[in-house]
Amino acid sequence: MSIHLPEPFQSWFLQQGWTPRPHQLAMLQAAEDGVSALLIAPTGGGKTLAGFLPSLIELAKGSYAEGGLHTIYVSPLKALSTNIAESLSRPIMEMGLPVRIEVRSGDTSAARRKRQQKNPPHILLTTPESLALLLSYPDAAEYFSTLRALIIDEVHALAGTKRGDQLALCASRLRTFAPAMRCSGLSATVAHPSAIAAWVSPTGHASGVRIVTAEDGVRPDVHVLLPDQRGYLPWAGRTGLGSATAILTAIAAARLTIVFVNSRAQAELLFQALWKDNTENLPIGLHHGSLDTTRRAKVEEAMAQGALRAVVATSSLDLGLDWGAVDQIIQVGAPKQISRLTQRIGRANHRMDEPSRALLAPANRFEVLECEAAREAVLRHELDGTPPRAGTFDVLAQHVLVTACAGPFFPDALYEEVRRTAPYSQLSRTDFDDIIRFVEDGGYALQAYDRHQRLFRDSVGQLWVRNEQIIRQFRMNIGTIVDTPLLRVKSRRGKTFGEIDEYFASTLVPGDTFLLGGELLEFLGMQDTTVQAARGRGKDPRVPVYGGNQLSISPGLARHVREILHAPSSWDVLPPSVRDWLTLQAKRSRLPEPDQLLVETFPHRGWHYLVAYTFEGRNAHQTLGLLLTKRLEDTGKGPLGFVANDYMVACWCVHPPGSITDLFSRTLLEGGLTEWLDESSMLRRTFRDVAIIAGLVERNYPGREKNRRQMTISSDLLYDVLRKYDPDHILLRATRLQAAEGLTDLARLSDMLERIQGHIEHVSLPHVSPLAVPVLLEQGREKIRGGEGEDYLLAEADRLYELAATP
Amino acid sequence: MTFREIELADERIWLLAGGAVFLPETQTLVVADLHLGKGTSARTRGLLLPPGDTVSTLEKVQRLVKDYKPQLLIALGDSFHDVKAGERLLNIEKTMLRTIASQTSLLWITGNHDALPVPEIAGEWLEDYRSGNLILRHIPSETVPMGKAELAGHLHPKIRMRIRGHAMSRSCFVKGPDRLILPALGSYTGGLDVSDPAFSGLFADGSSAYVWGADRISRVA
Repeated sequence: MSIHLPEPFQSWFLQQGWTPRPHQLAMLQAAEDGVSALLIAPTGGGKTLAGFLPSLIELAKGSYAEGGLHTIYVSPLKALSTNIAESLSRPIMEMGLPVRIEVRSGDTSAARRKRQQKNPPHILLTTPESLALLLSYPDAAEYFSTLRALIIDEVHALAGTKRGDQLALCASRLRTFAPAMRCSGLSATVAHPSAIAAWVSPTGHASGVRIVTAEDGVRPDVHVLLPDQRGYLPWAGRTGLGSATAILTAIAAARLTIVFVNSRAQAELLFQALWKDNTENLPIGLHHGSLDTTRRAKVEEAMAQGALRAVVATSSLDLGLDWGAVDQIIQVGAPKQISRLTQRIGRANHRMDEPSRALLAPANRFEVLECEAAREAVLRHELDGTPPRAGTFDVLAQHVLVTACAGPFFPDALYEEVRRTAPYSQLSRTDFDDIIRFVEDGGYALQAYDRHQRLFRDSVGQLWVRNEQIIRQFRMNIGTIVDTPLLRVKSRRGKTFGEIDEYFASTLVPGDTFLLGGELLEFLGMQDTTVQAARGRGKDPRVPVYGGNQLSISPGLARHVREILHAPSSWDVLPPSVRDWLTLQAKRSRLPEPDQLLVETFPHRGWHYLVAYTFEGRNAHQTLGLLLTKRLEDTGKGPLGFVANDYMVACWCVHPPGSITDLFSRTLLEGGLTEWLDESSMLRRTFRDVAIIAGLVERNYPGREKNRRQMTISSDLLYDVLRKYDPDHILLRATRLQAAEGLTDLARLSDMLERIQGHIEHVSLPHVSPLAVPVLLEQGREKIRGGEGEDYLLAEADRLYELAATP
Repeated sequence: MTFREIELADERIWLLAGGAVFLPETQTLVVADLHLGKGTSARTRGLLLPPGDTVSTLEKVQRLVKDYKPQLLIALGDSFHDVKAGERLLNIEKTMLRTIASQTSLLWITGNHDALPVPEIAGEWLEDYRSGNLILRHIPSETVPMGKAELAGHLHPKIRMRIRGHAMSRSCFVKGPDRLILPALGSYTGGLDVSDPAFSGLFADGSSAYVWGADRISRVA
């Protein structure tokens, strides 16, 4: 490579005992050539420095010392920005570079913001939300006009998400203000590099973006960790508590371990279980998204200082700098996706020349199969994951508001700008115009009332925001993260026990008991937006579920699991308890065979259950559950709900499900499907987020709830009215498109139905089979509301009251 | 036409599917908490909610009027979301109101949202109304006179229940020995759970709750 580091960088690298890595020089060359670039490198490869070097070198030349923003760095994590500001300050100080770096996030004080506005730093480190907010100010065009570089960290984690859509739109806005700006994307190893390259491109297409790939690290060291003799491996369950003692032993054998789990609830439970057996008092910390920032920051600091031996973490530690010298990761529970597991293993890759050490601890017997399959796939360097999806309409609606806040705009120019982003490169003009109309006046069919528009058009066709109040309102709505609302849990006397998820609260009925902060509470009722509870007693308390996405197993990994299951000869790698379980299944029912669909029916808890072993992943199973319950409703079986996991789907009804062959016939996909999907709670949840992001309803801010309560209308009610009078409204289209993403295309299910015709194996059992246990204990049950099943239940309750009243 | 007959203060009362009440003796239809114009009430602040709620609510009322052909239709207060709601009504909504007014006499009981008569709306306005032994008003009173019973709205009752493990939440009627609270009929009205202390004060002697399904009104508590 012809390019080399200029002074004083060359000497500084020497002083550190470093030689610039080839990918760092390649990024420098790309900047020199003025092209955008995508760097794909595993963790620990000096990726961040590679992104910043070109900017630092340019700034060192001094031509920018007079002020003006030179580089913007955007990462998905606030903490990452702070961390990078600190680690960059060392080379800047030691080389005496004339460079000022500042962080801007939601936590930045008003005074500091004002100063940054007046006197911008050379390098601004920020998040997608704060960048969007900056772009909503009237001086945005001037403020960003000097910009030369945009660095996007962890692109793989942003592309294909709503935050990513927002950032892509903001990047295009920045390019309009600063046409010379180049973009550098930093990414982990991904299955679709060119799709990610398109994402950092100024045109929305991968051509013209230089892809720089760093050399792979050493092959990792991956093993499956089973419970020791003090533990147990349950049939079902997601927590991995039975492996606590084995995990402790593994922690004791390493210097610093990250224990990755799949949910916040699991993190809390496992953390407690570890400390219960932690006789050596190993310092173990906890890190997840529901903990407050100061607590998380403390844990990160302790990690960096080497004061901890282990941290139990959710995806909150998936990304980021090396928080400390992590030399081992333990994945507790199903790995779900090979790429994500590879990235998590990479967290233990402190130095590229040492192998990462990883242990996979299954939480139940089914997960042993998944861990084993994932281990082999990681060692084969397999990657999974789908290319980023198209951008969503709700984020675009918000972006139109952001643009309008900064000043009047021409729709034609904005359309062109939006189409230069990868997520919206295929956006049709009709959809764009519908979005503009939504922002303008709601875009409703029922519209005779034309006062109170939000935007107005001037004589040359520019759109303006009607007044200052609306601008203030818009700015409050910026951001694409919609938190599941939490409700405070209080005693009748007003003592606060803690907070629970609104959705979980909505499933509680007076008399129910649940666990919160280690206490057993009885649900008394709701008062306004507070949950009333008292210390209670009773068995079977429910564990609060916190919202958040449940990751679906990737099709590739599901296929590997199916292969293990179908080949008893490969069971040698499985522990005896798992082999026993499968053998028992073969005896009590039967094992699913390749190219066959095993369906079991059995009575359970007073209902008629049906379990289908389809192995298509959770998303596809959600759709299948909807289809099956629709057919069951149409044929009068009174379905009450369904639940899916990655391997199977279960439905339950008040009446027996009838002929299984008829149920799974080709026609399953026909007739009134859209309407049934529209009714489902999945679509309703999707709509809620769409409504908030698009600015249809206001976000709830702490302290504002009280006076707003009168106005807050449940998004469910809005959804019903909108569906009735505006079935094709842009936000309903947005909702259906997004749900279709999550629910997996029907084509895949159609293929499956075709494949299984004539190969359906129906087993009628007296009770639940060993293989069906996991799905019956699965969380996230979907209920069928307002159907014949519920009518039947209401009538049954009524008959009991009549009976009681009869003398 | 699904309904269930109950009795309060020797008066026959039909609970109707959908959440209204019919008094067969006087051929009177009673609805509560329509909140007409709620969807358009925040437009001045730049909040553009789907405006179909008023049409949707009026369609429900029209359906009930068609099915039961009442002599008198009583709206139990909070019929309009605010006193300016009348000005914001769309033409189609005004037409619907006129059609209803041509088919039955209209009586608007004032509520807390529409404490004063809303201008240009057909029908009479009163603070409360007596029909035989029944007193009809918006906010339930603390005590009901002996031998009388009260029909009121205001609280938007809902009930959460679990029947054989299946949890549901539904709008409901709440009945005590001398009063009945009607559910809210408006399409943008939320609900207050019957476990809320606001109910226990009114039903010291116990209460029962009724919800409706496709072809039956069921007592569920």
